[in-house]
Amino acid sequence: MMLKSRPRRLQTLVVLIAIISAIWAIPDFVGPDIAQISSDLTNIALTVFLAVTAFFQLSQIRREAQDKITWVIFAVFAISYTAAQHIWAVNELIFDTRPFPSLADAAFLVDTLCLIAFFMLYVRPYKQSISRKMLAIATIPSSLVVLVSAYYYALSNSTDTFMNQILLFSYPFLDAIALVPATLGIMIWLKNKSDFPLLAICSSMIPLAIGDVSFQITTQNNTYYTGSFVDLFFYIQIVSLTFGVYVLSNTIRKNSEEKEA
Amino acid sequence: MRFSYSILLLVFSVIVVSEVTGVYFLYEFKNSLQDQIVSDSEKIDAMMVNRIDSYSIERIIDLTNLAKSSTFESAIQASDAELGGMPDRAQYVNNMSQGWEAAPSNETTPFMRTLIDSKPSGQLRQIQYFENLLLGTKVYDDIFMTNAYGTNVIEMGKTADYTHYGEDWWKGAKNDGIYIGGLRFDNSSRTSSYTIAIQLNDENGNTIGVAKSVISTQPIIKIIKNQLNSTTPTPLEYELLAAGGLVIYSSDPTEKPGSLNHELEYSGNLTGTSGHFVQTINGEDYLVTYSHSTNSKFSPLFDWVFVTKYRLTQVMGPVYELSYLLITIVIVLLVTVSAIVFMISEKLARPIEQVRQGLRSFNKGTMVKIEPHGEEEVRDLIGQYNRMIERRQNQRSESPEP
Repeated sequence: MMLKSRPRRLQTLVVLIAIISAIWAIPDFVGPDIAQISSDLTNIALTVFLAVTAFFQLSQIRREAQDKITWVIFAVFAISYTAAQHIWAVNELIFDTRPFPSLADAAFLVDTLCLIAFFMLYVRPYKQSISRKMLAIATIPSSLVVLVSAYYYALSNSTDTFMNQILLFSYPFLDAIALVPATLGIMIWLKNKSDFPLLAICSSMIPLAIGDVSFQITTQNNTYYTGSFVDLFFYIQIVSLTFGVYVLSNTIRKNSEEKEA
Repeated sequence: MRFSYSILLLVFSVIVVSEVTGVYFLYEFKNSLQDQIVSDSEKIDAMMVNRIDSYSIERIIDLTNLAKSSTFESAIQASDAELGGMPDRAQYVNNMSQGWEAAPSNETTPFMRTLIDSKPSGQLRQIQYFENLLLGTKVYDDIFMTNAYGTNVIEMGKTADYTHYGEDWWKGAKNDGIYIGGLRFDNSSRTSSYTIAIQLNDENGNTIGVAKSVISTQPIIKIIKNQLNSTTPTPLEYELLAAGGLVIYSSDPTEKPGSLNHELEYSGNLTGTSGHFVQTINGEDYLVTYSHSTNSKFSPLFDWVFVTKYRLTQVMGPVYELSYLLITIVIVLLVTVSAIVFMISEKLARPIEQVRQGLRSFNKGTMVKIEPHGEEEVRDLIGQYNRMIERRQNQRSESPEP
């Protein structure tokens, strides 16, 4: 079977995002309780598929020594993300305890740190194409994320503990670091438009950063609930990342076959 | 590659669907268990309040029946006649009252002794003795009867005063027929009691006096303890609160009768006739159910509320155990099934991959046979491929060399 042509891959990603948006919107329209159950269960399903795809990708590149560490880190990210979502859902649905802050945050922090390492390693092969100007431009969205997050942190009159507020702030802050290589990846794609997985994987950082900043703001003003609009950004991030890695696995195999041929 | 990925997706779809169904099942199970516990506990609270109300009403009926006894009626009528016939009645009552109050608290004067040792007073003590025996605890703190002028006629023991006509309970019972007082707490003995007084009438309906009983709350506490000892799950704490949050009884030893409900912990939450709420104390969640008496309209005495508190982790124990089991199963499944599925998908995909490689070589002009292996269908596919290669090789060998 022929691999999908580039425009069709983009179309597929858009369709997947539209489907996941509908999966978010319908329960949210019904009410917060249904939105909460739906969101917790959807996040479990999405992260499990992300982990499966991550391990599949790991199995695909196992013979290639150069990228191994990148994808091992990605697999650790996917596993900790899956664990975090499981802990969050079980805490919220079964134990009736506030999922933030909880053990889930330890797993979320591990996955965010892994994501930083992953993006740095993933974009490293393209370093020849990265100019100083590109690097300067790539820091703009990150600075924006940190500024918005710091502004709301300073404005906060939340009764949450200092540690909780620091934890809330740490997610956008860590995202901002990962956003620099991710933005560089998007810029590289915009230059030659040849590597679709690069676009899908790197652009997944944008909804994650928006989601984490929104999570910080809505948690501070006590309007956050699982299944709110904030979760849509996390859905989009996982879908974009999973699809990007899946297409990359196909591309790797195709390239190796072409080499053999 | 897509083949093995499809197998992975298929298997993990089954796992994810099972897991999501399991989590949803646990969520519904938890909710229905919690609803059931809340409903049962609210029913127990309502039943307790009804039993306490019934007990209190029984004491009013007891006093009413007591007042109708001919022995007591005759003694009171005789006292009324005696005092009524005195020309200097007010002076007499005043003198007797002063003498009564002047006597040391541990001393019984001959006049007091006359009243206490009378036959009707002896009967009253006998009634008290049998009531205490029947209920297994002290029922009455005091019972006595006055004549129409408010002076003592029949009494179980020495009372603090001789005349009562200025007291609220006496005026209330004389004017309205019945008086039900609020709870009174004795800080030294840490007990509480309440007063009931009723008008005594002769057969023509004329007021001849007033009967008063001071009823201990000990039997109420006994009812609560007996009932809740057999309740499952056993509440962490249960208490009967009077209006304003005063503790009548609490299973928490730090909350003494007469004290305000500990740190007013339920303040503002005990709304409506009955209900429940979840309270968080030091990070621990507690399920609290309560029920108010529906007889509070009848008398402020009945403005009490029965509260039951459960530790949520204790009552939700079965759900939590199931959750831990599910989480363990999921982790074990994810690890083992991942390993097995990765191996199987590789094993299934490998012969197909070999056939694909063989066909690719064939297209390039190289004919390589493949050792048949794998599942029946795959072996058949390899067999067909090998036969094709064989035929092609035969055709090539039969055709003359150019």
